Amino acid sequence: MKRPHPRAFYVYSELPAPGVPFFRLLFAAVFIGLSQSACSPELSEKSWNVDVLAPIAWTSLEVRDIVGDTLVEANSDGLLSLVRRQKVFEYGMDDLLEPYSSTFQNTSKLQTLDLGTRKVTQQLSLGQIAATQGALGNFIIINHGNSVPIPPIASSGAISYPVQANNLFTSMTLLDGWMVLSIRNRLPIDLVNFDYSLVNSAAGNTVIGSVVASIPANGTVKDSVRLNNYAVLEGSMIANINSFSSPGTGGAGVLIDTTDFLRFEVLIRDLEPYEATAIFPAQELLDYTEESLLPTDFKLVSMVIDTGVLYMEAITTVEEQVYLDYEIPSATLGGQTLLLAETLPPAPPNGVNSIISTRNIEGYTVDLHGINEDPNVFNTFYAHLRARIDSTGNMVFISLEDSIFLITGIEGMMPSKVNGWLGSDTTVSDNESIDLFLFEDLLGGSFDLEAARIDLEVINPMGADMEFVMSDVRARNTRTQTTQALQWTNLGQALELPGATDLASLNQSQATESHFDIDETNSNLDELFEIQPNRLLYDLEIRTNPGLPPDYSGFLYRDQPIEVWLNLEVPLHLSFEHLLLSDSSAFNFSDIDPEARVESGIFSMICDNGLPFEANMEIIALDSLNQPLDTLVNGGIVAPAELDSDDLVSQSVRTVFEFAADSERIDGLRKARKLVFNGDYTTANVPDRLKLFDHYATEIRLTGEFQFRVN
Amino acid sequence: MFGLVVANTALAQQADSLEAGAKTLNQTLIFEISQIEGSLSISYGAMRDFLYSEGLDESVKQDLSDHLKSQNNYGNAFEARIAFKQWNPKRKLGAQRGFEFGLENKQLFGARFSEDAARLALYGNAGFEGQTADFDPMDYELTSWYQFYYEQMYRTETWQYQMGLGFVLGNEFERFELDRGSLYTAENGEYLDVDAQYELLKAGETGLIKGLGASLRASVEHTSIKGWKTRFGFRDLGWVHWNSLSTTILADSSFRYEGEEFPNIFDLRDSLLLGTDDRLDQAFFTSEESSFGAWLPVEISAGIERQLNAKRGLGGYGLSVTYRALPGVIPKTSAFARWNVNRWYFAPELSYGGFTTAGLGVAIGHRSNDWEWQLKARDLQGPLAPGWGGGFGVDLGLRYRIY
Repeated sequence: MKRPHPRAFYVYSELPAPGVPFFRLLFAAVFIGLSQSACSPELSEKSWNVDVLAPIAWTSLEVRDIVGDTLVEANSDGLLSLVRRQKVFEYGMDDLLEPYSSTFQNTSKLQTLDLGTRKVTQQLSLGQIAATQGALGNFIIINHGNSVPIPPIASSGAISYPVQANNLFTSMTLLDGWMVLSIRNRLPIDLVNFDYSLVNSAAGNTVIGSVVASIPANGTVKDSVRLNNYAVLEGSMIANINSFSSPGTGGAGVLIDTTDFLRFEVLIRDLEPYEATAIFPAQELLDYTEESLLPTDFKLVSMVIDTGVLYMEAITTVEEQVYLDYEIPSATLGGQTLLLAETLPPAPPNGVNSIISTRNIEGYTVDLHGINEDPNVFNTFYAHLRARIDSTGNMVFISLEDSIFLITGIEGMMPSKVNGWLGSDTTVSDNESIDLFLFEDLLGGSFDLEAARIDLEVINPMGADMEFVMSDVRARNTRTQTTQALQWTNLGQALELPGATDLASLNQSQATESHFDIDETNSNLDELFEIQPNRLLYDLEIRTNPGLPPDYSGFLYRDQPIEVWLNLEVPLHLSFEHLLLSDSSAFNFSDIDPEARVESGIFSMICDNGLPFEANMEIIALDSLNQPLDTLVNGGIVAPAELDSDDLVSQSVRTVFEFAADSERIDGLRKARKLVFNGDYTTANVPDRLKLFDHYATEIRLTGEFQFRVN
Repeated sequence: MFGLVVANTALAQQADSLEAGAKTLNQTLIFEISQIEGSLSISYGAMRDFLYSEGLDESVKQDLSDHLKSQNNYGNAFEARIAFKQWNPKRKLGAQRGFEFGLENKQLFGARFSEDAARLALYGNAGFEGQTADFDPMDYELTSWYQFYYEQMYRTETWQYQMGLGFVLGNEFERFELDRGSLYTAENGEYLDVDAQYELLKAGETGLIKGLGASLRASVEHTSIKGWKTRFGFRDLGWVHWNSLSTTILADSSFRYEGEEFPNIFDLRDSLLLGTDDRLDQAFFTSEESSFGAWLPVEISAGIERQLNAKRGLGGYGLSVTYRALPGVIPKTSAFARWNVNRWYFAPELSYGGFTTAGLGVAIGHRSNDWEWQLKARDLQGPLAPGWGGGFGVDLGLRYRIY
């Protein structure tokens, strides 16, 4: 079934009378048609008053309602007890370990550049040489293929030709290196006084040059020069044969072949460039390893990371793509090591490029035996940083002045679990103070308890034996400035807390629970409660592995701290006098009368009290500024229920309060935003202690007879 | 058009005389409008004060209250019609034929309610402390529709038959029927015991036309040689299918209302108060939004009259009975007569029933060759004796002979 359309009953809905909703239906049923008539006026424009007598609200008020939100439990007899479980102490990983953060900064200039060995070969044919040598040259060319004697050559003319290495490099400035020049003579004559030089094409300076006394036919001579002190080598060079002589063939005929040649082979090796514009081979630019030590007194062998970030920021001036690997080899997840790999784009000429990268490291298991996996090393892991370039085949400029600026590190690393020895330490907390939420609604009065009990429950989820010592426990009522010290036989005693069992497969600890009773047989606990404390003060010691040798099988989970709980139980077998309770609730009269149709009336509060105590009630209406507007009930005493000879409730007693509200008072109530209920409760037959049972209740009904304006 | 023939007998007689015996084509334009309201129990004065005064002071409430009976009613009706009517030339043998078509608008409301229900509505339930207020009977129906109709007519020297079909455009519909209803107010208002069983049907909220349907109408009339005419007929025998936005509410519940329960008076929450109505409504009735069909309030009528055809003096007299199927409406019996003074006529009427009890009406009319008009006031005792009469109505009719 659907709910009615919201506008389905417009007359019906125009006559709201919350609290007496039935009347809306009645008005609608009797008069709906009058407003529908074509020539009749709208009924909704009419207005008249009716006298409504109706219930507005009712409640069954039980003890558990009066004592606030404190949990109340009943035993099998129905006797109520005030029960509360409150955590008073917690001690865990977050108290023992600080989030670990570590930053590594590296500004790495390139230490070396590898340009490899470069070789350039250039040869000059006999025909090319002859073409520069005038009549003799023509003679040689004409006799190609003939066997003729070659006359002696007194001095040749100069010959120049290019030597190109531009496909390997454009230029390089060398800190060190060698150039080896091989001249191979495959001409049919010996060459003597061979004067040559190799010069940079652009700069014009001579790189290497010499006069070789003799290069026999089919012989080879070598010359070398060390290229250091920022020697510059250009990729475009010119080989010069300044002059040479030859004894000729001595009159003997030789076969003239103009393809015979003179070969120059230039080998540059062992290069240590300072800078170069070249095609660089793949090479490592940076390789750096650093160990990190966790700052703890524990001796941890491993940990599982709960939170944390691995990060890397890199800035480069290298005009080549740089590959960066930041790795923690001892951290693994699913068989994979923790690696942050990034590619640093090439820097623009005379510029920089940068990247920032992070990685969540949650879930990684970190071995803490250090770089050498030494079982005697604890709390240690290491990181490995590498930077490299690959050969891209591009001609790029790289200088040893180029650098890669790297910031790497770990931020906020906290483990979810640690394994190892958890130390042998004593944690002392003096004057620990916690709020007690037992009697926070009580504003005054006193009570006398028959009994009270606390179950002190200590939960140890750590993989280490512990001892727990409580001393100087005091309860304090800050309102009355009264303090009561606890006298308990176990105060100051070391209470043993056996270590927990690691359920590693479930990723949790099977904690041990220890219980210590504080009750009327071993303490003065009831005296503590009778001052209605709102604070608990105590001194506390927690000893880890007290007097025990290191045991590296220990463990600790972050989400399972040591917890100390107070399980309180106060049987409501008591007497009290002038117990003052106050509570307030939001109130808006328009919720009851949204269209302001209640003109005036008499409200009645009918109390059938089945509780064995009297209540002096006061109900005050407050405005939005919490200023009192009106006292609705003032000093109305609700009589206690009748008791039998066993002090048990035998019959409820009715008390009726009437509250007359004229139109002025109703107007005042419309401004109210809050109702404050003040109660002064006193048990019957004080000082006899009475038992409060679960079935005890007071029925309260609020009814009203009021002038209600229809429309 | 039989309906207004009965309602406006004098005019009908004149119109019939205007048309009767025509041997040539006879075409007439008709316009009629009628409004009436009344109550069987409540005086017209009290009703007028209640409906037309701004507030409702104690004297009006007292007046209403003084007239309450164990069963009370109220109703009103508005009807308007514009039509074209044609009689074909009379043949030597066989029936004379004719037809009529037109557009009607009707807005009808009828209600009946118990004395306790009315007192409760007027004064509240404080006066019922420790007593049970009985709401039975209590029902009402509001129906409004437009209707295009067509009638075929036949007549002989002694008989006249009319049969027609209407296409109904439903405008508004709401029907409430209470089978059982009472309210007990406990001492000090500690609780209210509510017992109710009812059904509420309401047409969808939006649009001028909320339903479609059809209706039938028919009448038969016999004229004797001595001038006696007897009539019987019905109209608005129809059915409307109201649209899918319509709502059906059913309630069959007995419960005790003790006010809103606060689980803890120290934990008073706005939501508890605000949710009161919804939760109470849920406990009280079930509602379904869907289409439904409903009968139109049929009207059945019968009458006998004698026409004397005197140009001056008594022109006729008769008796009619009419019943409209609306809550609170009882069959209305009317006795009427007509005096002619040349082209003028004057027609008094005494009635009992309908929306009210005894009623005195009078009509005055005039006819020429082409025109005829009539003005009629019904239940004159209402305005003339407000403390006694229970209603008032006015009719206006115009006819124009085109050919």
